[in-house]
Amino acid sequence: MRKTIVWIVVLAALAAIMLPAGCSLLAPATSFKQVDSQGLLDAQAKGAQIVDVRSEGEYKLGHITGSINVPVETVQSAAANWDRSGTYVIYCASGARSADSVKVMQSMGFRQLLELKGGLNGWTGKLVTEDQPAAGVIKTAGKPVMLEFYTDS
Amino acid sequence: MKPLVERLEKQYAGKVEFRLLNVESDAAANDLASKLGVQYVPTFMFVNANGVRAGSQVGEMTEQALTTSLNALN
Repeated sequence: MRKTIVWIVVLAALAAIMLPAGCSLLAPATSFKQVDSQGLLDAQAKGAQIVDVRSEGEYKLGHITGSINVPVETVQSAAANWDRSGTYVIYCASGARSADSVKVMQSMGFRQLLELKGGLNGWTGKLVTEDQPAAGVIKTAGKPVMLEFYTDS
Repeated sequence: MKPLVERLEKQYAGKVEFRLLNVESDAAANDLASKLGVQYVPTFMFVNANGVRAGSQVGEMTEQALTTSLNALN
């Protein structure tokens, strides 16, 4: 009985030490740094490559200046020849695809990875579009129209 | 979002025309989005019967917000 209590105390102490440090007994830590808009610009100024992991269609609608488009499903093949010691800032629309991309790149040996917090939803800067917005007049058939622009992903 | 939009499309049949534009798979939709300055998806745009843009909303919309915007067109 006494031995059992001792073991419980030891395990509790170990858990108290390891959990706050982000340790896991099941998998290695895969933390990465998140940056805000200014953080992205600062990193870009220092030479970081900005990577937009949204679809090509989304990218065409507007993207961060200087970014390259590497859709999330192509990250592994595209990054195969990239410099592992380089710094990369990954972003998408909301942060889900960029988180997946960062995990893929971490598993490939990249260590200087940053993620735009909240994706473009948190971006406060301007976006570049391939065509500047035009004053569009939408043709109607005499009744109101609701347009929804969407993607499947 | 899709089931809600499809339900409202039936509800507003004959009153408001719904144009659902996949900017990823439809080149014409992508071109129109660029011309209209759409930068995010989803984006909802509300156009009155005269073809004048009455409003737009970026991001997911609740049923209440959608019906409010749709009702304002009639």
